[in-house]
Amino acid sequence: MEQANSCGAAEAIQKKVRTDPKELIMKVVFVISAVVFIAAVLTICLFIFVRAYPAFREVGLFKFLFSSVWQPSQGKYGIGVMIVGSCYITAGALIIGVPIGFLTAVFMARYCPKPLYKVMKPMTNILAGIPSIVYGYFGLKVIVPFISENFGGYGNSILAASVVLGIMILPTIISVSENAIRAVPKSYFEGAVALGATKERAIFRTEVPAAKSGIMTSIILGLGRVIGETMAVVMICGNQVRFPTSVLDGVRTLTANVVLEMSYVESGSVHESALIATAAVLFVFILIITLLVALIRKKAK
Amino acid sequence: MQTQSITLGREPETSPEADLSKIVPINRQTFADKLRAYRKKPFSMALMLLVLLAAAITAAIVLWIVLYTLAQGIPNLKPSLFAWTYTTENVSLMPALINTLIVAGLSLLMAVPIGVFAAIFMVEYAKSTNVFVRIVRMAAETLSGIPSIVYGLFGMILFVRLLNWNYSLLGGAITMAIMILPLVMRTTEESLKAVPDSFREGSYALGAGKLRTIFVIILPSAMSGIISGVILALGRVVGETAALMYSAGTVARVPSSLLGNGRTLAVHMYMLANESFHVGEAWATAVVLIALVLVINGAAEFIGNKLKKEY
Amino acid sequence: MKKILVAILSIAMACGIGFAAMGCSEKGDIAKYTREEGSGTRDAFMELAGIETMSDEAAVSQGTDALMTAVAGNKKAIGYVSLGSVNSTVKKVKIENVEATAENIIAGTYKLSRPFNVAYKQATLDSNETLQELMEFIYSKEGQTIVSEDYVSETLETAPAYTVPETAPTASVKISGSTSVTPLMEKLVEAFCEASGVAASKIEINGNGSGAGMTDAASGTSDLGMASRAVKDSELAQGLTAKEIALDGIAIIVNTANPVENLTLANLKAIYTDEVKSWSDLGVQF
Repeated sequence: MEQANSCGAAEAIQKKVRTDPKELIMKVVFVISAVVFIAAVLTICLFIFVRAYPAFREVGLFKFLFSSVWQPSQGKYGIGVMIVGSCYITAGALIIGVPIGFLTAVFMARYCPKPLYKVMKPMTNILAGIPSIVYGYFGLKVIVPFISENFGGYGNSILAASVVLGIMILPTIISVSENAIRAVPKSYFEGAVALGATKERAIFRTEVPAAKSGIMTSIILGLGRVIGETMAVVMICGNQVRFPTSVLDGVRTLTANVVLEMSYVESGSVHESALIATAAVLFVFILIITLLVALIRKKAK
Repeated sequence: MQTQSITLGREPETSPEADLSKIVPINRQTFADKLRAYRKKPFSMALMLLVLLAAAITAAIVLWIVLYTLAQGIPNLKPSLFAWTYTTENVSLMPALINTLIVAGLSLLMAVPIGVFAAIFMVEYAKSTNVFVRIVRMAAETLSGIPSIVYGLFGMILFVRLLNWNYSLLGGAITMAIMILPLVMRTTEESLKAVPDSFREGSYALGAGKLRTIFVIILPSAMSGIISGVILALGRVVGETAALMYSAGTVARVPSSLLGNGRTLAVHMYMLANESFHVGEAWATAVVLIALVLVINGAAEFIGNKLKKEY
Repeated sequence: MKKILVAILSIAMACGIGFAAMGCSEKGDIAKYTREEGSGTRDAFMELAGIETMSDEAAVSQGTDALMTAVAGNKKAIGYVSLGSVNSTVKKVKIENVEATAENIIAGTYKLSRPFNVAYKQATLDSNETLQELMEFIYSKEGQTIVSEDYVSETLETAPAYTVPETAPTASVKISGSTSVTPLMEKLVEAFCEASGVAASKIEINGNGSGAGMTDAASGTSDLGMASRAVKDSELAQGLTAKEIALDGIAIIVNTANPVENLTLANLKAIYTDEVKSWSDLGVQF
């Protein structure tokens, strides 16, 4: 499939492409589209890093990343708390979302009777289709009061955000893991059962290890969604700028920091640059995640 | 493909020629057998129960969220919510709905041709081992994972502040176009790559040029994948809040020109939720929003299945 | 790879459980909510209560309803919102034994009140007839009557009746700023369009926060900025003229299950600067 271009009749076609004006024009159009695409990509990257630079210069990269004081009115910019907050909430969402999602994927792939599957599959798709603002509102109205009622504290907490985000990543984890498990050749399962393994042992000791890379990919995709989630998080995570000491404490995430303050920053100020720098840090996180996915895929091949 | 081979493999068992139906297969297990087996292997049983529990939790969560939203929203779905103009009395969502369609339409208009053509270039023209192609693919993958708030920040500073367009539907649409471009490009690329080379070879062998091959043979074959990618992108635009709030603005009206300020449905819901008078209407808007996104996703699946071709 | 992930996850889980076990005992039980920086309500509240630095334990809610919902859902919560927005899901608290009502705000006995301001550049006003007409309407009897429905009007008694212009002006007006003022401004603009015959499509209102409104008006991004606090000197120095359109109280709200009836400004300051951490220190028993 990869060799679409190097197929046999190349010479004659190349000639035609070179001589026929229509072919030539369209080729130019295609090239231009590709160039526009890259231009858009480059613009965003350049824009973010160029506009973020003043903040790094003014505050110092190390201080910006690790200082825990964020007081724009006093000219103090440190996103240490936000990085920690994003990490905690991401970890929490994965702790909640991954086991449920993974086991549900196993259920969907290997246990679910067909009639039930026809109901379950659209149901998980609905979960994927609900806009994040609705999740945020649901969390604010239902989960936050529940937590403050039963566990005390503010309710707007790492726990609340983790629960909501854990729910949000379920569809990603379920569908990608399910496909990975289904892609394992049936003979693995049959072989294990023939050797006397129970169904569970066959699934969890032979099929799941074989589907490892797909499952890892699903987790990392979920991780990317959690780190980048904005509106749902800002409504329920409490947004305090200090290190949390319990899961019932609130904390501010990188995305919440941007959305809380971007409406009133002055154009061209260090504050604006600091917000863009926050976005740049997010960008780097996502880049690392993408590289991880690529690495896993390469290994799987 | 795979399921097919499995059914093939099983066919002799159920073949009607020999009267096999009366013979009890050796691997047939009664419920009691299963229970006995599980009693001997408590770990297996625990695992099975965990799997069932997880599935039940997932189902319960979906039902909980959907039913809760419906229960809160449907009693508030009044005809006045769909009036043509927004006033502080009826908090109509109609202008927001129209703005949503405008922004979605515009951004698709920009992103789809560029995304599809760029993908055609990458699959049909450039060599797949090309460094350039690899960089573009990597970039597309990274960009499709970038949080929408980053695009919003970009849109706000570039269009609203630097170009001085103020908050505008056009600025919002361009921001959205850039956001969905990688998604459209990636899905198109994948579906083009899935078209077998024999199609191309056959077309060339019959004397068709490259262009004719692409537009008459390859694109129609890849159409289902492309369309479902486009519709997924549409769903992303419709559900987007943060990025649009700061690029397209929050005015509850259909602006007279594309350079005017207007809120989309998701932003409308956020604004309603943010002032305490309209909690019920916010839930009603949530219902409309979910319905819209579900219709769009359903359409993607339907078209995808309808146009799917087996090679 | 898998082992590393498992290790990370288990460490994270251990940390989480550790955190939870440490509990919030030394933190006290007052759950205090505040608005985001750049909110006019927050600035006005901090100034009136004499708070210099807000405690960083206070949870930040973006917007009035987000805050009110949070307080309505948490028995130990306290927060502050625009008086005009308070609904029955939460309970208003007396300040220095004075109830938050329009009369008390006019009389000056309710301490937590702040002006709603609009700000514009004189040159913009001079060149924009619609804006002049709108300003005239806001200060007329009709305009101030609308103000007095949910907010406090100081000039209702003396305001002149609105005179309808012979031909409706056609210039368009962009308004932006405080989310607290936006609901009031929407109502005013609606009534204004009806009274003067100006097409509703000529005026657009964008709620993006007091700070943003002032920045917009100064830079010309919008014609009229709204602020739910006093306009700062640094903003006036950018060539803005500020005018007060209404008075609004800041209501201190608690959960309906909270028995507290009265708080002093000193209490508020102590709560929001972490000097007092639990309700029992204020003599409130649940």
